[in-house]
Order: sequence, then C-alpha cells, then structure tokens
Amino acid sequence: MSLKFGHVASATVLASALFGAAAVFAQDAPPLRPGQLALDSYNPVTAEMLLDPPAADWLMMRGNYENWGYSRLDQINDGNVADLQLAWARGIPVGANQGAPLVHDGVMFLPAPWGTVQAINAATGDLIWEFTTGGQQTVDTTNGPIFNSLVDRHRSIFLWEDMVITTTYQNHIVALNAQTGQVIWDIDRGDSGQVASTNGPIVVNGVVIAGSSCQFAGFGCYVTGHDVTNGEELWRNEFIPRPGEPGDETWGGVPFENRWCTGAWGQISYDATLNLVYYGSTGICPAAEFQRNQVGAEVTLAGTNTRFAVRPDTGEIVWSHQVLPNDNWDQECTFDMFLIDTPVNPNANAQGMLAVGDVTGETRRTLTGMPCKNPVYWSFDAATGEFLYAKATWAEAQNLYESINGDGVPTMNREVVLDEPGEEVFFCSSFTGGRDWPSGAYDPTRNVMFMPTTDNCTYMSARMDREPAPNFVYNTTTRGVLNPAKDNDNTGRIDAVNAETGDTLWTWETRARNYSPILATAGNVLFNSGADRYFRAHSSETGDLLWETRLGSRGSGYTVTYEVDGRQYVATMAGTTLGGAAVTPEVDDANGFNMIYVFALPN
Amino acid sequence: MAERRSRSSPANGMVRLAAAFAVTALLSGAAIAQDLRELGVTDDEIRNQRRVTGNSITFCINADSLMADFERDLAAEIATAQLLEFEIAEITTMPPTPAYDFRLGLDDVTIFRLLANRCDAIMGYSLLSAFPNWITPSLPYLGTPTVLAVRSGEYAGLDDIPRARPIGTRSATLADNYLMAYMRTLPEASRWERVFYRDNGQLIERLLDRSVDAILIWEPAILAYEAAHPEARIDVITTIPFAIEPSQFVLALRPQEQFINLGLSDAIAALTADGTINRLAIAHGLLPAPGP
Repeated sequence: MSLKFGHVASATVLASALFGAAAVFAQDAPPLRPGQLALDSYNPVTAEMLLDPPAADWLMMRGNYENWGYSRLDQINDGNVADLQLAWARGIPVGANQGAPLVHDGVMFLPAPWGTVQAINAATGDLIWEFTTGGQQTVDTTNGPIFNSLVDRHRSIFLWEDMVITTTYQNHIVALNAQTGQVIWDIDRGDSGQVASTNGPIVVNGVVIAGSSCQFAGFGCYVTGHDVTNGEELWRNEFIPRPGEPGDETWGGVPFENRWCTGAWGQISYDATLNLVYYGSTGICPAAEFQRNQVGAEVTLAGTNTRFAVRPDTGEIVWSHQVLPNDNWDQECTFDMFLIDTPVNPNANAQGMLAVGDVTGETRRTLTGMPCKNPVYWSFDAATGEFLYAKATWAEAQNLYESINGDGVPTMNREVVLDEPGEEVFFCSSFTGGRDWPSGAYDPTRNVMFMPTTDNCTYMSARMDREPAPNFVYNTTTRGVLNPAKDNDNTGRIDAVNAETGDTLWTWETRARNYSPILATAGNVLFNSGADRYFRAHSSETGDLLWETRLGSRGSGYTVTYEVDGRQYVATMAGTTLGGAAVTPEVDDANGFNMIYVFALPN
Repeated sequence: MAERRSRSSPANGMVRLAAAFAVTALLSGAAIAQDLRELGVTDDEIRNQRRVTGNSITFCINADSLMADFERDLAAEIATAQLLEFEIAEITTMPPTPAYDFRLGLDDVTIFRLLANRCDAIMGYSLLSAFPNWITPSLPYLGTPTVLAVRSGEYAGLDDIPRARPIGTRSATLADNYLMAYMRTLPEASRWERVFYRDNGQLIERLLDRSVDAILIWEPAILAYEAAHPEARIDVITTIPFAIEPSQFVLALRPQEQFINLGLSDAIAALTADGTINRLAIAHGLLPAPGP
C-alpha cells in the first residue's frame, strides 16, 4: 500500500486527483497550519476491529483489549529472526521515552514524552503530523508553570473511529483528528500538576476510560469514564473510601483529608464477553506506617492496591480484590494483567507458589498476571473475582507476603513494616521492581505468560532528615541491592509461566536490569530489550537467545510489530528511562537520545 | 524574640556551609552523575554546560512562596553588594506552592534541570541536613522557627495541653518527626494524639475549627495568616520541650559554581551583619516586628 498525505493546501486536490477519493475531515476541525501534512484518507477504527484487531495492525497498547502483547504475524520467526536489519529510525522528543506506538493501515501513531503525539509513515519513518501540548520540554520559566519530571511519561494513546484519544500531563483528555492531528475536543479533569494519566486511555462501548497518576496529590485519585463524542464525564470512581463508606473502618481512623496518593496509572484491560473493564489501584503516601499513625493497628487501607472489575458504561464495581494491604513499600499494584481462557489446575508444588484456591479442573475466563511491583503472579476468575492462585517468580524473590490464604487474602510480613523512626527494613523486590510498568506478554498458542523482572531488593528507611518535596511523597530513602539469595549476579530476567498450572517453564537471566516490555509473536519469537542497550529476540519455547543488536541507549519503551505492503516490521523504543543501574554500575547503559528503531527482514 | 533570632543566626549556617563545601569537595563528578542517572536524568543533561551570561546573575524565585517579595528585594541587595547585573526569573510550579508556605513544589530532577538551564541561584531553598549532591548551598540568609500555636488564651505551653488531645503537624516535616520522637520518650498514657496534615493552611484551619488543640507550624505562616485575618486569635508559644531546628534558607547553586557561591555568601554575611536582611524580613512579615 502507499500512504496518502500531503500539505493541507493541496490535500483535497491530491485526494480527488491522485486517489479519486474525497478527503474526510471532521466537520469542525480548524484549518491546518501552513505546511502541515495530513492524511488524505483514513479508514476509521471500528469497535469491531478493536475486538478482533487485524494482524497487520497494532491497534492498542498491548495489541488487544486482553493485554496480551501478542501478534499473529509470523513472517519474522525463529528461523529467520537473525536476519533482521534496521529499516528506519527516528528521533523522539526529550523526556522519558516509554511509549507504545500504534499502527493502523500503514500509519504509526506514536505517543512521545510530555503529551506529544506523532503520526508517522510506518514504512519509511516520515513524519505526517505532530500534536504537542506546550512548552514543558525545556525548563522555561517564561512559559507557564513548571511541572515535575515524572509526569512526562506518555505511554499510550487509543484509536477510535477517526480519532486519536490521548491524555496529557496537565490531566486533560484530548481527542485528535487522526488525519490531521488537530483537536476535536479537549476536556480538563482538574487537579493539574497533582494528577496526570501517564498510561493513557482505552475506549470501550463509546466510553473513554482513563486512570490517574496520583503521587503528587494531597488526596486520593480516580478512574473516569467519558463520552467519546465530546469528552463529557459520565462516571468517576474514587478508590479511597470516604467517612461512612464501606472500607472506611480499615483506615485506622486516619481523617479522609489525610489519605493521599492512591491512583490507577497502570494499563487497563477489557473483556468484551463479560463487558468488564479491569484496573488496579496504587498504594498510599507517606509510606511509613508510623508516619500515618497506624503502628500496630489492624489496617488494610481498603481501596489501595486493589484490582477492580467495573462496567465500562456506568463505572459500577462488579468485584474487587485487594492484593497488597497496608503498603509501606510503594508497591503500586496497578499493572496490567492478562485475560486468559484456561483450564485451572494450579500446581501447589510449583516453584514460588504461595497459595492455591479451591478451583481445579475447570476451564475459566481468568484475569492473570503480575499486578504489583512485587514479582508475584495472581490469578482470578475474571467474572467473579474468585481467587485461583498466587505465585512468585521464585521462592525467595519476595519477602513482603508472610502468607496468602486460600481465598487470596494476604498477611503482610511485619518484619518489613516501617513502624518506628530510624528503622531500616530490607525487602524484596525493590520499589522499581520486580516489575514496574514494563508489560509482559501472553502467548495463547502455548498458554504461557512471559514477564520481565529484576531480582533486586531494597534497604529502606523513612527519612527523618529532610522535609518532604514532591518526589519525596513516600518520604523514604532507599538503597537497591542484588537479591542476596541468588547464586549468581544476574539482575534482569524473563520467566515463562504456564497460566494453567503456574509452573515455570524456563527462565532467562542477564546481568543488566530488565526494564522493558516484552512482545510475543506467532513466529515463536519474543522481543525484549534491556538496560544494557541490547534489543533481543528469544525463542518463545525455550527462552534461548536467537538474535541481538545494540541500540544507542537503554531499551525504554514498548516493542510492537505490524505489516505494511506484505512486509513485517518490529519497532522498539529506546532512550530515557529510570535508572536502577546502581547494582550494575559496569553496564554501559547510555540514558537519553530518544529513538524509535524499526527492523525488518531484507527485501 | 531575641532567643528566636539567636537560633537563626548565620553563625550556625556558616558551620553548615563549611561542612557542605567539604562534603561537596569530596564528591566526585562520577558520584553525582550516578545519582542523577538513577533518577532518569539523561547523559546529555548531566554533561550540559549552562550558557555563559557575562557579568550577570539570574536568581530564580518561587513566585508563589510566602517569601517571594522578600526574596526579590534580597536578590537586588545581594547583586548590588557584588556589583552584579541581575535578572529575576519567576518560577511557578504545578503543583503550586500552597498558601502560607515556601516549599518549591518540584522534584530534585527538575531542580537540577533548572540549575542547568535557567537559574544561577534558586532562592528559598531550605537548608536541612540532607540535600542532593548536585546542589551546593550558599550561606543561610534567614532562619525562621517552628512554633507551637494554640487558640488564644487556651494554653500557655505544650505541657498544659491534656494528654490524648490532638496536636496537628505537617506530615513528615522535621517538626513532625521531632514530635513523634519526643512522644516516644513519654509513657503511652502521657502522649498526645498526633494528627498530620499536608499544608500549613490546613493546619491553621484545623486549629481554628477546633479539630486540634495545638499545631506545630512554621512561624511566618502564622504571621501571614494573622495579617490576612486580623480577627484570628492565635497565641504563639516559642518554648517547646524539644528543640526543633529553625528553617534556614539559602541560595541553591550547582557544585561547580563555588566561586560564585563564595561571592554571594560574602554578600549575605555583610547584609546580615548590617541588619539589612533582618529589616527586610520584618518588613515582609517573615519575622515578628520588635515589641515596643
């Protein structure tokens, strides 16, 4: 195929003269800037396409609503992946480069830092249009308020009909014309500077659903639902109970106005058969129990670190399950879980198995994955929330859970609770993982989950020597170390786990931290990059390394695959991301130099 | 008042400054770079050499701070004392600094970027015993105490407040930490109830609406509130049974700018010695006016 775009002044002429099709612009779209390019035609992304995405496209952050991170494309496979070559690359604006490119009909829509969205020719890397939100990229005191660094993350956008839906660091939700990048509607969710939505929205049944990054907020945050046609807010779900609401009694009498920071900034998933949207909430600040006046109290902090199943149209909560109560460790149980149809036969003797529920031998629609930074898989019945199993990547990967009972109710390890000033606790994993936002993948042909994690642990104490600033909301000081229970010095790893049994099928390890998402493909290949700048292809079956190439900087964002004119491409993001290199100082992990690299087999 | 001023004397600050210089001198560039990389600062930014501006200095001031007007005047005095041309860059932040406060609402990475790209010196930086290794402080120019505030006439001191009554603090501040540490030295039955809040405005409101019986608070916040609300009846108690270090304010500079720092610190010392800074602080309501 060939893309159809041109300068706006010639757009209609090009459309009619060259392609014989009238350009379709939103009726209320303002005129384009002189010189701006636009697509002359655009095939809308329908609800039906989103439920069964074409293999050639990559229509949403993880490829489908079920968050699989899996592609049916197999032109690139375990037999030829070693022949991959660079097809094109392109610089990306500054900021943390953690985005997931989307691809539709040969056009890549790329979320770049600080709310920027770019439309790019997916076969050549040529820029078509760019939407920016304004001047934070440089620290310019003359250009409005300065925001904190952590809100620059812009991980995903969503394609719906002829729109690109995005969130911004000012806590707006914006609908762009997919052909031109121009704004169709823009709504302000309020609380700018304290709340953002770094992981972006999804759209279900015509409802835009967006979470919130809340760590600068002196209150608890929310997930909101909006009419996709105009952005009107339809519902808003808070996480922290108000006085008198169910769960209020689990907060140990802490006044409502002193319950802060709980948001839901992780990836949201959707089950069309059950008509349920799933998201997870984060912890609380300050982290230390003694700073919250809760030492020794029987507090669980209901609403924090909880997985919710809600109706997309109304926000009605159908079920919820708290996976990590009384968080003292910034565990943020907000990350993506997979929707998987599987027989349920958890192996109580599997490596790292912590708890098994009552269900065996039945096939269920499950919500399974690693919701917290703690490297523990949880599995629930997606319809009811019934607990199925919980399993750590390996036996000594974590020490936060003392136990988890057969109903999936955890008891936390009091030894690692910050319950007095000056105390230092040691816990595994660290506050940046285990896992963090980088997603795993699920291969439905194998019924296997692949998760990128890091085997670090943390010494942590509550700070008594410094007044809190925005990035000290948790008010702790931390020092990361390699997990001392390991018998080697590798920190980065990928584990392949059978979703039915919880058995670990293989583990691949490397010295450098693994802080990059995984892509699984029907070509029996997993793609993943590391802090050591290697972009790697592994065998899905064995984890064996099949191919690797060196990038300019750290693997930082999502890897996706797509097809244009019969040629499969693999795109990955590298550049700026968080550190974690203190444990591995010898790793050459250049930070910065944001790029997207796109690979393909030779023509 | 005399006692308060002696606690905030620059003499203590000089000792701190010397210590900070010594610590900074011991830090290698590699250590600073490693700390910054852990926070995601790019290699390009770490290497960046800020623009040269000749005989001119840019002071960055938090426009939302309770101290902003004072700092504008002080910046002019410092620059004049050093025969420098100067520019004031007003910073506003998201989230903004709340009312009755000085804290710059920015994380350390963003402060690093400001120093690398825009500011020679950021005013109003609170000198505490720990700060990032990519910041070096000037001599402190102002010390302001934390005090115990009660509703007028209700209590004369902390020990007058019945045990188990609520005392408000600002969460995770030094005063909050000191209160917790002090209470841990008391028998459980002799402790007050600690209630934490996020900002000074909340603290004052909760005192006046009787949610708490007393609050530990930065004194200029009380002075400013009383100036804006003459009807408020608040007593300030300066004698507290545990010592709370006063908030010392400095200019924040980059470690490689020690030479500039020495000049600015000389100016601060001179303006302290001749009473200029004290006069400005009183004029701007950051210190109480001397009694008759």
